[in-house]
Amino acid sequence: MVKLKSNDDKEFEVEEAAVIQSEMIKNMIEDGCATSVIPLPNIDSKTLIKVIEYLNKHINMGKAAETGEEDDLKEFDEQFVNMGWEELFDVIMAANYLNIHELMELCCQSAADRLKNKSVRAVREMLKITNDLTEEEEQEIINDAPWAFEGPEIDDTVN
Amino acid sequence: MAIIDDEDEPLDQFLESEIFDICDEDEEMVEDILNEGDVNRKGKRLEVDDGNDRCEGEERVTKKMRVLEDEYEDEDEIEWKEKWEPDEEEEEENREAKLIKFEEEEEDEEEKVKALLSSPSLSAPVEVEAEGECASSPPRMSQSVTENNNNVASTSNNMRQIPSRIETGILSKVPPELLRHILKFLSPEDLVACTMVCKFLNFAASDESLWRWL
Repeated sequence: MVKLKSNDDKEFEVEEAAVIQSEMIKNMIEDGCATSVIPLPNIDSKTLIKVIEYLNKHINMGKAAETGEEDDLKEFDEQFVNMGWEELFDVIMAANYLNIHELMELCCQSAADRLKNKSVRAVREMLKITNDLTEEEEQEIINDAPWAFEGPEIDDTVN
Repeated sequence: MAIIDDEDEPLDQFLESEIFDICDEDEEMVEDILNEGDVNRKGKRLEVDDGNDRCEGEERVTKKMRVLEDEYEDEDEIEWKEKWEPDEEEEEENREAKLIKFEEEEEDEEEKVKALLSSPSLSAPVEVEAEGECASSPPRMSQSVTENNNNVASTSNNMRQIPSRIETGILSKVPPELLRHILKFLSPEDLVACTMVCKFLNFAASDESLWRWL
């Protein structure tokens, strides 16, 4: 077992087989740098719990195909990314820091899916971004790529 | 009005004395400057931008972005890393102040980048540092936001200067280099929508590497 410590000083025990899905921790262990507890100063406990949940579920990913658990895993992933924007970005940053490629891709794909077909206004509202472009600059963008603003499927709802 | 591809006239010296007076010049003069900007656009992006913004805003925003990207066409990774460097703004100002020396500076920059690249631990520490800043030290974070605000205020005379990160909302704590991992999943329509969200996303979503394979 490997102990991970979040930046709010909570410790979590994780199976080595699960935790080595993190390239960063895998390298630490291989290099003998992993002491009794691995401190993770960039990750809070709430986010770390999510990451560990993912690691534990994906521990036998290679075997999933053989045992017919692929659908189960897919369903887990769909549920897993069902979280708020801020939480999602916390997990993305943690996955990037820990270098867990699959988790990073899963969460970034989810973020992209949420932006898909959204109107500019909806994107701003979802991400709470204040527009700092001038009207002239906006008009230039529209003139430059009018095709991007003509689709009937543009979604102005915020979720 | 077409940007004339007048590649032949070497107008660098002329440029130095004239470029700062664009606003006061008559239309003919402005046109000259614009052409010069085009001639020298590879090396002197800021001049092109200033010229166009002050004239009739002809060059489109995304197009300008492309020009910037063209400079580093084969060095996407470097490009991203380089642009997030905190001293980038200072360098931009230098460029503005010392147009003639610009190309020398650019060479220096490239050397710097090469030096950075040769360091085997480039990407990880940079990202860790960025995360550390936003995840674990709120005071520093607020400081950097203030700096950004100052930056925006001080660059009101230079619309093309890009904030080093998004200053408002959820993305303000996300290291800018991570945005590309999300943007790479978007369709052209969605990328264009992103360019209209704010200045920073305009810059991030215009990155050549996102468009190359579409």
